[in-house]
Amino acid sequence: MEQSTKASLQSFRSNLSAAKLALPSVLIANNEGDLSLMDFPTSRHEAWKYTRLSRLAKIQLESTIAAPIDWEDFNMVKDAYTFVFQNTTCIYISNDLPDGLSIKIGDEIATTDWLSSINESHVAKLNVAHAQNGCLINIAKGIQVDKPIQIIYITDGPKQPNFWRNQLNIEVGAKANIHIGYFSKDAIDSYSNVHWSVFLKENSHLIMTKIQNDGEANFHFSTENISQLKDSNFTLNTVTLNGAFVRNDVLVHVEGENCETHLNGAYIMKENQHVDNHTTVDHIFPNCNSYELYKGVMDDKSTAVFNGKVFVRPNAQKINAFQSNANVLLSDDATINSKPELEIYADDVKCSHGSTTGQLDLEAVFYLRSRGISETEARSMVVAAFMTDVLSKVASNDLKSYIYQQLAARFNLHLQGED
Amino acid sequence: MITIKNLHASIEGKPILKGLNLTVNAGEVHAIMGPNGAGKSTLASILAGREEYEITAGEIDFDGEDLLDLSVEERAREGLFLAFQYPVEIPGVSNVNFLRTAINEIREHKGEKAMSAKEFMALVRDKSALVELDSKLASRSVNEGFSGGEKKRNEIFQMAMLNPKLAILDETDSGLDIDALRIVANGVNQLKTDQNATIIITHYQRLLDYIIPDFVHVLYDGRIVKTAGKELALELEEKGYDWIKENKVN
Ligand SMILES: Nc1ncnc2c1ncn2[C@@H]1O[C@H](COP(=O)(O)OP(=O)(O)OP(=O)(O)O)[C@@H](O)[C@H]1O
Ligand SMILES: [Mg+2]
Repeated sequence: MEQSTKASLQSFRSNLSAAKLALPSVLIANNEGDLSLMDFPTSRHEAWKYTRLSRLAKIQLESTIAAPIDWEDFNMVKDAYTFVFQNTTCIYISNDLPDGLSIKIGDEIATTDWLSSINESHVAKLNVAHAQNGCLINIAKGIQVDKPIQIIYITDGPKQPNFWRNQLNIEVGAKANIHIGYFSKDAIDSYSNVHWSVFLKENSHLIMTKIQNDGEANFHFSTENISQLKDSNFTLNTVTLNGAFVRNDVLVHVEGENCETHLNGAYIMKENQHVDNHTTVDHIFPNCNSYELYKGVMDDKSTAVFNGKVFVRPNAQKINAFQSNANVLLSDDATINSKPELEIYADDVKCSHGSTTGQLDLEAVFYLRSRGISETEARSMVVAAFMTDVLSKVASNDLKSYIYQQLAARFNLHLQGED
Repeated sequence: MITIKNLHASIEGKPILKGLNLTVNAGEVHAIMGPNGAGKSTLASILAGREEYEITAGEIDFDGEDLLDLSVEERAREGLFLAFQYPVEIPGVSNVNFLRTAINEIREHKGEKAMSAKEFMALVRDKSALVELDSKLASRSVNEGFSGGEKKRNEIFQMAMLNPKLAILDETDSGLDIDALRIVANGVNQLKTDQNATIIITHYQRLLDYIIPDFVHVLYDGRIVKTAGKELALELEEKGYDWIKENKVN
């Protein structure tokens, strides 16, 4: 058993190209050595207990050249500074970037540009080993970017491996809103592995919204490694709409006082889909607030995992940390494994966490039907209502209407925008 | 309008309705009174189409249709309305938005064209004024954070919006203050025509001072055991139900 999985990580990597990005030596130094000792984690690994990789391990990835596409088919919002990757090629770059916003792509990024954010998981190490392309975004000191930045990643073709590595630097007092979309086209048994290192300097402000809308047979791994300095405000919205298998690892290091951290997640799943959200908020400094709200609706045989950790270090007094995960199971065959964890080593803190899982509120459905609304519509109204608060956290109205359109098309869910 | 014959119903194997008969014609107001647990809400729930109940015998004819054959929403579209004893809160679903969906689904069912936004807003203004429901409440999430009385008023507001043929009001008067009682009663009276009918389930004859019933029925142990004119309500208020229980002929 053990042996075969170990062999499978090596065989999984056999066709993958080495990294094309010029990464700093601290990142690559031990990476190969570490990887050679690793295998795909099994359910005995706490962080992978409910997320099996055995099906992935059997896939032989093979990078192929994709035919040109019209990226507009994947456009989420009209008015944005947009960058588009089709597999590992950057196929579109907005040419009207404002002063203070700079974006470097692929080999424009120098070794010294990269932060050395090291993650220990096999996912992050594979990313270091095989990163093919990505972007480095810099928002200069005091700049408020007037429009959202939109980065679109399209996995095109079967068994396609895509390793993207990105970095986002928000300088002192800067402010930005970034939309990231993950999509696929004809992606049967394809694999995408994306890594973001995000650095918020003092008094900066960032809203990062990820839309995961991959095809129904794509494996997607997304890792965000965030550092927040004093007085910064960070929001991450993770909206998972599609994908056979989605794993999110979010790690926020709060490394200064008076920071605010918001993690919001919405996952709407059906058929045999699997989504796993692992988040960690590490409070190292005092006087900070973190808020986490993840909500999911699961139909058919879909499965979801939520594991949210909050650490409050010994000197991090006066921390308010709230965490909540709520789920609605629409079918008897859907499952959720939810585990909120608090580890508190300071005494003057306010923390709460909770997890709920329930069925659809049938009383509410009956009430709506008794007014003449069809059962399908009534159910969809109640599901939509459940998701409303978390989706309303998506700050951009354009992106919100995009999400609502997707929900209507895929799940027959009709959410109302605020008037 | 509706004829209920020999209705027997049980829940979880426990018989609740035990041969209930009731006929309501267009233009009539019927009051149903009876002690706690007699089966009044059960009757209302069965008429509305709640699926937990097992109908073991009997039939219900609603304007020529077999009511028991219709789904919950089909009954509503055919003109049946239940004002719930305990209206549910549905956070995130706006009161007016869901009513608009309901009205348009009802219209579609009747082969009529959808109501325009303008027409709809005018109707909301008109009907919320009728039951003196604050327009802010009308546009909030269904019953969320409403007081007990506001929930009941919202039920009558919905009834006014949907304009049903047969309305069943299950203890709509309980939890209402004197002014609200008058307002709700006034709303019901204004909606009354010779084409529609109302069944009022209540414990207090007070409401019947405002809405004059043509018939008062006593529902006891799953059956209608006595029917008379409006004076019966007064008599019940005075004497309670014991004399009826004692006189009950099997
Ligand atoms: N889900 C249920 N399971 C078991 N028994 C039930 C259920 N629902 C109702 N009953 C029983 O059915 C009987 C009739 O209840 P119902 O609510 O119809 O009474 P009611 O006449 O409306 O009373 P009240 O005046 O208190 O509103 C009661 O004995 C009640 O306990
Ligand atoms: Mg009752």
